[in-house]
Amino acid sequence: MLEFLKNLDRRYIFVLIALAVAIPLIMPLGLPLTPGPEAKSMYKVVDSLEPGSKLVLSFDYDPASKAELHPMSEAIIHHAFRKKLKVYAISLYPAGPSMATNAFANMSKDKEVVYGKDYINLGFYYGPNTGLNQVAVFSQDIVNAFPVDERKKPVGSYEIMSGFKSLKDADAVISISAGDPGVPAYVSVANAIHNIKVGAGVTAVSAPRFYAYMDSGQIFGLLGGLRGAAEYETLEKIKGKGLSGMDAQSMAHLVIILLIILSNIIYIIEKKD
Amino acid sequence: MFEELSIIFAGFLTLCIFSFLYKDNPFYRFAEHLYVGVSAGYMMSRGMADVMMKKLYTPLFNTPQGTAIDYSLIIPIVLGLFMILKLVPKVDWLSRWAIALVVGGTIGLSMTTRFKSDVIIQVRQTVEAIQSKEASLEKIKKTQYNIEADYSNELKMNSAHMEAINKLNQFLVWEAMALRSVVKSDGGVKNVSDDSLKGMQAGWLKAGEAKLEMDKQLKAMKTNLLGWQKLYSSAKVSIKNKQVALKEDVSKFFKNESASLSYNDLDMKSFKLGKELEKLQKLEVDLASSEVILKLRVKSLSDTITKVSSHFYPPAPNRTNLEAGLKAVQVLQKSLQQLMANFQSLEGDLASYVSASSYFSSKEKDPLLSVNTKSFFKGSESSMQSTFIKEDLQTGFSSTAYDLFKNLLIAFGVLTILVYFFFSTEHKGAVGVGAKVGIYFLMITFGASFGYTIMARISLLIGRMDFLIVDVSKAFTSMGL
Amino acid sequence: MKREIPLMITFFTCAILLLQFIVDLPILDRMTNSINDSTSIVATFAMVLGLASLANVHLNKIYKKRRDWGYSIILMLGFVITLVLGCLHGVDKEYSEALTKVQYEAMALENQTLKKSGEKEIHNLVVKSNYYFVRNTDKVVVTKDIFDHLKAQGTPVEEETLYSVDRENRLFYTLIFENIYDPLQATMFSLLAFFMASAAFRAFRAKSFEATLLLLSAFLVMMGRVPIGEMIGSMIGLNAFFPDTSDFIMKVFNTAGQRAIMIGATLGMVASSFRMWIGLETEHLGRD
Repeated sequence: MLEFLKNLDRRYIFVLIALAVAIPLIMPLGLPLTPGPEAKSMYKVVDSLEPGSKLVLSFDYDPASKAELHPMSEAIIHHAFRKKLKVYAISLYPAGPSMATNAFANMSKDKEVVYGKDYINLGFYYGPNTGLNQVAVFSQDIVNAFPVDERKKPVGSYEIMSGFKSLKDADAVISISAGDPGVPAYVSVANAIHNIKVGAGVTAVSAPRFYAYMDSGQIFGLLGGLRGAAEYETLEKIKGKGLSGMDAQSMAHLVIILLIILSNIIYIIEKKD
Repeated sequence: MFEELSIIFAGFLTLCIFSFLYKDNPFYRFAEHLYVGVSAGYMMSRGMADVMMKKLYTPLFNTPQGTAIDYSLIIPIVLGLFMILKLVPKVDWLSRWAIALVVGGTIGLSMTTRFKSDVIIQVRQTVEAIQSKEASLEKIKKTQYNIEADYSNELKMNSAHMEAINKLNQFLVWEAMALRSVVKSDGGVKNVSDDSLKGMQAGWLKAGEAKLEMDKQLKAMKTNLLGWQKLYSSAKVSIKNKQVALKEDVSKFFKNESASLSYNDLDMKSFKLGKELEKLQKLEVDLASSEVILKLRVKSLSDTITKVSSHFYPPAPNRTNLEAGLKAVQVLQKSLQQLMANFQSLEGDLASYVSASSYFSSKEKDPLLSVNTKSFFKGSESSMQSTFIKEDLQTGFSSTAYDLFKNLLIAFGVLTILVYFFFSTEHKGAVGVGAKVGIYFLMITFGASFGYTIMARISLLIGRMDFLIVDVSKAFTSMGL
Repeated sequence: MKREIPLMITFFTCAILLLQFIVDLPILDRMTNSINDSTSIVATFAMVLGLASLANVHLNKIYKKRRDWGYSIILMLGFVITLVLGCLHGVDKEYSEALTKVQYEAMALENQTLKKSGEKEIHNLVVKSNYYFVRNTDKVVVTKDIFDHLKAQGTPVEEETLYSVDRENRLFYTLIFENIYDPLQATMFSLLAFFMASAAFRAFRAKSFEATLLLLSAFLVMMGRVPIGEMIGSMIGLNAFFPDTSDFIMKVFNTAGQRAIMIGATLGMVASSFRMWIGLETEHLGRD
């Protein structure tokens, strides 16, 4: 037995993980979830914006981290549409605008929102990997960065763009980011230099890093990974991909923890021998 | 059909990639190469659509109205072409010019911005979090005091009205009960002794006194509501005046001032004027609807007052008198219920007035501001946000000492880790102990990061599984398979 | 010459950006804006360069029929088809085509005929009015309110009606982006979940005190961040133990650690940037 476990073919582990994720998706457990303070603070700020306020969402991710970040974007857009905020999508990732298009399409179903009036997808702005130069341009003159929108029309022809000349005109900026370029650029330039309110929705991999920003008040809220999305969905009282994934997440964590415990037991037995 | 087939193809590609978990195979390699090709094509299309078209073609060859052609773009274009020249060995040194620009532009910005956000602010926070605990506590205490004062003000006024109505209602209930005890269900009068009739008469006398007092209270309420009405009308007038003034501003602006402004400023200013007009119109509508409600409320109050004053008190307990008395009580009870409901919705109706007051609060000498009802509005405003504020206060209060402990621990951790990072001194003695503790802090940090990394990777797998289980099967079903 | 000019370019662009941080001058603002913009544009050309060399490698492989050249054909096909479709109608889900009034009316008529015969309309037509205040050559968008007011006053204004039709970009967006690029990339990265689990089983052992700390912290965070941790906690009588502990680890130990790393890394970055600025570090320029 010990020998078998010691030389366990990793494909057994693969099957175990696949099952731990798939079974709860087919048969959900519906475990309840309590939102944490970071997500609450994010929700609070968006909720406190008056109708007609400008919310900039920066889609700084691509399909690689879609599973974690897309549910966040959708929940925030849902909230913004419900609060009648104006939503501006920009992006530091090439595939970001397509993500925005998808999120807007999903969230504007059965809602009375109009492209160009209630929301706009400005597109992608290329630049060095740090993202600092891009955000510096957005903070000075956003029309210069996006003379035409994702649909290739001049942005000046949209009602939503009058009165919106730079990030400084926005009431809040939220970067949904998979790493660099993303939240660090917004914090370092938009917040630190121009005092613009910045919120962060990030992948779980990068979330620990941003707790330091949360502590110092450089970001007004932090959603970390799928869990963060699920928390926002709970606050917004919708059932999205975040919440539906939490059961699978629970089971997979449990399996990995058990695997680690098992491996340590083997290690202890080995050491005694 | 096209959508469904696409999704099924996506499902196939997903399985191709997953097949790598078993072992490397042609399906995986096909999907892998397709991925690299498509993503390169996608990046390139993006580069075309978002940079070449937006940043170069449009500003140089297709300028929007009102903007001049931006010749300064020639420099980055030339440098960009130099970048491409890296492919030509003879002149590849020219690409250095481009690289030099990118490097200069990047480090210049990161040296300043990153230093501010990741060093200065971080250090400041670490130190200030310990220092300013006392000050922030005082601030929280003050906020709480103000909010509570505003609350009680608001509640006092509202509850005074409600209490009056309640008392009146109680009195009516008593009267109705007394009447019911002598009036039969078919309307006839029960045979009651003279003594009890006498008792009833004494009771009615008392009720009469109570009624007079209620009468007074109701009249005071009416005066109060009429005051509100006056306030509303004056607000309406001032909004109208403001609108006229603003329209004058608009004409003046577009005729005279606009000539001296830049395109952007002109656009901004005209946007702001438009917004202001819109806001005023909204306020006007809000106030008008509130005024209608207020008028209705005054009317129903006046009705009640009339009814109370003319309320019938049987001088002698005979059959006709008693019957009429019962009916009158029933009518009065109903109108009181209405009144009560009206007052209960008072808070909600005040919201429009609050928005009007907050609009004018930034301006000077407006009729709305001269009225001593400011605290009333504030109360309503804070009650709207009360849930969150209360939560803040709770966390602010319950955890003072705990917070201090946490912040001290953070400061200690930062210090010890920095000691560990500092290699210019040998890690011996006190420095050695500090560095050792720093390592422990780092290990816990890395452990947390590891936990989060597992979380992230599992989430990605959940996304794919969800796609296979939900989306692909949905596509099959909708195709009838 | 080959080294001096690049070093000067770096020195001056960086100097302007640094100066702008300290001194508040409009001209510096304009210059930094232009530097930031140029940096972005030039960086795009760098991307084009990278993609060009990728294509170069694979075309070579196909040309010389090297091992697995068939896969390179797939790669190049994917690349070219995506690029062509992307350039054709753009990269968004929908693209809008401007119409003249005549074209618009013809399509509207077609829609009407279809509607009359009970079928679905095929053209997604859009009419939009823009209102402008006119100043010499400039036109400024104004609201309808202001437009009406100005018109009544006799101030120069202009109304513009735009006709267009929205079409779906199905081949590029629905097929290539949503159902090829998206699933391939997402699945590629999701493979990491399996390898991570397998690595955790093999290598994650409490071999020393430090390793035990790491293990414990990872365990507590993993339990605290999922709903089942909360459930297990209350089952064994610890209630919110897992969420609270993981919260404490994240907010105190993790914050301290990340902050220290941030400070350390940034100081290092500033030091090496400074060396690049004054030309002590020239690695990025390559060798002669």
